[in-house]
Amino acid sequence: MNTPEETRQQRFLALTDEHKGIIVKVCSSYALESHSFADLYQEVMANIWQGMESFRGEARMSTWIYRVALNTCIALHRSHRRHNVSAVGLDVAAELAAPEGTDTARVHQLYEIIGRLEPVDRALILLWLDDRSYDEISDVMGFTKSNVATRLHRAKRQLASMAKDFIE
Amino acid sequence: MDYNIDDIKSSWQSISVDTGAFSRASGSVLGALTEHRISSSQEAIVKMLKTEMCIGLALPLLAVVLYAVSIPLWVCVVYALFGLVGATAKYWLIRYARQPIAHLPVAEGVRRAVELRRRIIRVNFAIVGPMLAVVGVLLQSLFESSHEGAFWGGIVGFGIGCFVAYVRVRMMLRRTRRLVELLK
Repeated sequence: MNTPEETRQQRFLALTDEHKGIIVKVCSSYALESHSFADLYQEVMANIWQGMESFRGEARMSTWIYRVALNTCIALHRSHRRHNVSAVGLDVAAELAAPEGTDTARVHQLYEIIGRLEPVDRALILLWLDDRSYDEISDVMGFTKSNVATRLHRAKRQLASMAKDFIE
Repeated sequence: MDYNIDDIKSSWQSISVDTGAFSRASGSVLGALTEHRISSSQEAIVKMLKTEMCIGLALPLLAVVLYAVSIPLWVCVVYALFGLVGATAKYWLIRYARQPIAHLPVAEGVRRAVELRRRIIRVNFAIVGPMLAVVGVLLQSLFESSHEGAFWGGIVGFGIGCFVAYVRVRMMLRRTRRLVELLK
């Protein structure tokens, strides 16, 4: 029989494993700025750990994970060096940010291109790239669907133009 | 890589995450979280505000010490009151800072983060005026009561405090401005 704390820990590991793609891709897209991937990843995980118990199922779990990850990367994160130890080794962080077995150069190119967008536009593009519906994008971002459509149209145009500039 | 937007999308969706590396990283983070070795930024802000509140609460005790070294009673009372008012303001900020932000829709999360920083900046600015008056009167009293060591110690401490406060407020203002830009 597990203690409540052990159950919570198992739930956390299962939940984060199920949504690892969201967590890693969001952190990698924002780690290009001043923060390191390990720093962002650590803070996103800390916010999931703290908020997990208050999740009441009003939204889809993926919507909730996106909100936590994006809010952490855009609004909440500050440099942690002064008050936090690094729980994630640099080697593990590097593996996560560019996994083996994939075309690492291509992954880096993608992150670099996406990283040129403004933080809010980047969030919209990440959600679109992950094939999220306008309803879910609207839930994650807190914009109306028409606002999502307008912003996304603009962000996609910017992304295409930045990708073109990048290649040239 | 092609710059066609649909190719970018399919490339993005083909990115896979190393399951082994993720398990190792999440295990390490979980260990650090359960042992309270790491915290989130919001927790760090609450912790900083709590420290500042404790400093405010300690000022009445320090006022007793000042009274014992012949500083006029009214100066000690003003000093103690200043500490209590400051601590109350910090308590108000702690209550706001404790409200969870991370799980809100992103636009609302950014708005709340901006509001939290604005409140901290406003409280700090509101404290500066009375603080200068209190410290000025206190230093004058120390000078007049021939506690020269304490006087110069106070001057140096005040100078360092002002410099640290200036750097922190500038950083916070810059970050707040960047967040406000995002909302446009």
